Amino acid sequence: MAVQRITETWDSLQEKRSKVLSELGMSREELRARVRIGSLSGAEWVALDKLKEIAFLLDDAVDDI
Amino acid sequence: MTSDAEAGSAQLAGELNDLIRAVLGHEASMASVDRGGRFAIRPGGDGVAPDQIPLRVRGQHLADLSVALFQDVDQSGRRLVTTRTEFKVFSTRDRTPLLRLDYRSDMTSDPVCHWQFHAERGAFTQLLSIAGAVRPRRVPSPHDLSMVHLPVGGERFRPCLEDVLEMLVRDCGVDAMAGWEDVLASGRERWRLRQLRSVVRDLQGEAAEVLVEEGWVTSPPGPPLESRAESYRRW
Repeated sequence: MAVQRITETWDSLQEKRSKVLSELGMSREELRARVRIGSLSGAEWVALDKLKEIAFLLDDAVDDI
Repeated sequence: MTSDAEAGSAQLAGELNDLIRAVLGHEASMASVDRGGRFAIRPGGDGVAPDQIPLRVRGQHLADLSVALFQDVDQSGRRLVTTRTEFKVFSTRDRTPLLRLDYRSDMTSDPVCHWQFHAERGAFTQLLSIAGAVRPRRVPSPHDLSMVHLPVGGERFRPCLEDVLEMLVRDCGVDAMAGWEDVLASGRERWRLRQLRSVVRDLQGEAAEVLVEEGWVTSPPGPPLESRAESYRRW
């Protein structure tokens, strides 16, 4: 199967970040606090993976998410 | 460089597609996601939902493999490098990880590459509980063994995805396609030779010394190169 090439923009990634957090019902700060404590739920792990990708693509220097 | 980087990222994504199909029989449909010359490679399609690769035992879907690689252009601006990888195995029961292998070239306090196991072991928890009482900053979560980072080889000598797949097939009994061993051996060889080339680029003086000891005749291309040995000191 051919590789899919996807191009994102700053705006599209910001929109996706908001959507992920909205679906999770948390702010970034709340999720960061949950990560520090550990023992995340399945939904939090899914969201965390998406947010890490977004943060990397945005070159966010603050942290992973 | 941008178009070269795009092509390089897509090529690696294609190699991962081929690897996963040949070993697990799954069409991972790897995507290369680009934002201004930074790339994420992962399964899944539409750019919204990173997907996972099902792991089956005699056809029963028991776990999922998550694969993510993050790439950026190096300081020279000439080479696309993978600066982070995350390989995780998730249980289908509660959607949380069983184990994970993380690599980050810019890791600060944790090992550059490490395994984390989401497991329970009473005796280990006891050790960590006592240590946590004595050194709470070092051991902040003694109840959670996944907070222990098991270092594996640093930036250049870390395990590859082929190693993870072989562990899943050989030790966890995950279903695999006929010929999986040869596919993994070839992929592992390709990975290690790439790493070897990176090591030689990092440590050209050491490489030349070894070649001279073996009878080669070498000469430096110019003034002594700046040492790139620092990353070999990190855990």
